[in-house]
Amino acid sequence: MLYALVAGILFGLYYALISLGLNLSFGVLRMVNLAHGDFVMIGGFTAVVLYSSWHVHPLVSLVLGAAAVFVVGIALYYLLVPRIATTKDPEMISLVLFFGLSQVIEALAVIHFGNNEQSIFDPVFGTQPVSLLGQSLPAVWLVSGLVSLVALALVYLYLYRSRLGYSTRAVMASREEAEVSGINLHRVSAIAFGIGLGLAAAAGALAPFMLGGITPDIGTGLTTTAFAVIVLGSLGNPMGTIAGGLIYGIALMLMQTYLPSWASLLPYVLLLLVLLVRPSGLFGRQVRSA
Amino acid sequence: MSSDVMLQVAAVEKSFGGFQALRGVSLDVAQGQALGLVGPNGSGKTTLINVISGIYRPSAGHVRFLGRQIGGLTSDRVSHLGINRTFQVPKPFGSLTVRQNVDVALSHSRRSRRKAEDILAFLDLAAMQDREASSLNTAQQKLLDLGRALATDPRMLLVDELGAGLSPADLDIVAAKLNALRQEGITMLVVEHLLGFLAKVTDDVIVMNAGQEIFYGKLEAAAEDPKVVEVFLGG
Repeated sequence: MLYALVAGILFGLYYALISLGLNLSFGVLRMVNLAHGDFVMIGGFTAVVLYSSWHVHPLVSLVLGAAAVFVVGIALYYLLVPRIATTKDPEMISLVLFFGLSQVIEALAVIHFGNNEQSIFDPVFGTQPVSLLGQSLPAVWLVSGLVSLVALALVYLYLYRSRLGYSTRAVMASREEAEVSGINLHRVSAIAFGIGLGLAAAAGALAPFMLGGITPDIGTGLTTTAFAVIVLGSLGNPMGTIAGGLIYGIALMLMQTYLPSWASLLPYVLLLLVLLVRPSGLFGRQVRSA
Repeated sequence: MSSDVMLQVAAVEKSFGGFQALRGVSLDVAQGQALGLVGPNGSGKTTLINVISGIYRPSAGHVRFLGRQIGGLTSDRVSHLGINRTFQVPKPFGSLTVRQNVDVALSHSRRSRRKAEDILAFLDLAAMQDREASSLNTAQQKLLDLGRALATDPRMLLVDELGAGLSPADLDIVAAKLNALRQEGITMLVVEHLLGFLAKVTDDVIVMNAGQEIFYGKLEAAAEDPKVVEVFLGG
C-alpha cells in the first residue's frame, strides 16, 4: 500500500507535468488542444533519437526539446489560432483542427520512426534503486518526480510572480477585460501556448522511462489522460493540475496494484465521475465556458 | 472635424450575420464632454461601445479618436491611445487580488501617471486591496472595473451601465466619482438606463433605437420628443 502511494505521488507529479500544458493552453485559449499528447510523443522521440545518435543525456534532451517545441508552439499559435478565433464557431473549429494536427503529427512520426515501440534501454539513470520512505524505487522515478517538481515550480513562478504571469492569469479570467486593459492578447496567449507545448515535450523526454517506451500513436491516449487530469483538478486553473495529477497517479498505482486489468479504464472512469459529481473539478470554482 | 472633437463616429454600421445592430450611427463627442447614450434594450448602445473600444470591428463607417482612425484596431491598441471602458457585467480577474487587478492594467498602460494606491483610495477599495476580486460584491466589482479602466489613464471613458444593480446610495457615490473624473478632464460617453443617474453625470444625451440615433439634445427635451416618446411608450 505504501509503495503504491509513494509511486503514485511520483507518477502523479509526472502526469501533472504531462497535463499542465494542456490546462495552460485551455486557460488562455478556451480551446482543447487535441494534439497535446502528440507533443509528448515528439519530446519522447527527440530524447530517443538524440540518445541513440549522439548519446545526449535525456535530461539535456528534455531541455533542448522543450525549448525547440516552445518556439514551434509560438509559431503554431500564430499560424492557427488567430484564424480560428475569427470564425463563427472557434471552439468546434479548434477541435477539428487540433484533431487533424494530431493525425498529421502521428502520420509523420509513423513515416519517420515506424510503428514499433522505441525507448532508451541503457541505464542512463543508474542501475541501483533508490529508497524513499522505506520503499525501493527505480532511480528514474525519483528523477522524474524531481524534474516535474522543478517544472511545476517554474510554471508557478511564471504565473504568480511575473508580470507576464499576471497578464496570463488576467487573460484566463477575462479575455475582453484583459485586452481592454492594454494586454496584447495574442502575445500573452502565444507564449502560454508555447510553454504548454514545451512542458509536454519535456514530459516526453521522460516517457521512454516512465511509460516504458514511445510509439507514434501514444499521443491520443496521453491527450485523454491529460484531459482527465485537468478536469479532475480544475479546467482552466493550471495549478489545480498538480492536485489532479497526484490523484490520478495514486489512483493509477492503486489500480495497478489491486486491479491491474482495470487500470487502463481509469482516465475515463475518473473523467465521467468528476463530470457527473463535480463538473468544476475537485479544486475548481466554476466551469469555464469552453 | 471641429478642433475640440475628441471622438468622431461616422456612419458606423455593425452586422452580426443577417442582424444589423448599428445602422449608420454618427456622433461627435467633444473634449471634456459627458455624453449620455440611452435607448431600449437591443437599440445598439453597447454594440456601439464595443465598436469604439475595439471589441467589435465596424462593418462600415469610421471611428476617429483625436483625428486618428481607430475603427478596427484591437482593444489593447485603443486602450494605449487613451480610450478605456467599463463593462455592463464586469468580469474582474477573479484569482487576482483587487490591487493586482489594478496593477495589471497599470503595468500595460503606455501613458499612465496614476498610482494604484490613489485609484483604490478614490474608489473606496483600499481596505479590500488584498482580497481576491472574485470575493467582491456587484457594486464593488463595478468600482474595480472602473479602477482597472482608470489605471490606463484614459483621456476618454466609455461607461457601460455602471449604475445598473446599484443601490440609490451607491448611485450617488458613483455619480460623484464620475463627476470628479470629469473635473480631471476625462471625456465620457455614458450608456445608462437610469435617467436620474444620467442627468447627474451628463450634459446631453443621444437616444438610440434599432441601431440608429433618433434624438440628440438635453435629457429633459428628450422626454418631449415624439420619436423618443413613441419608442419608450409605444406612441
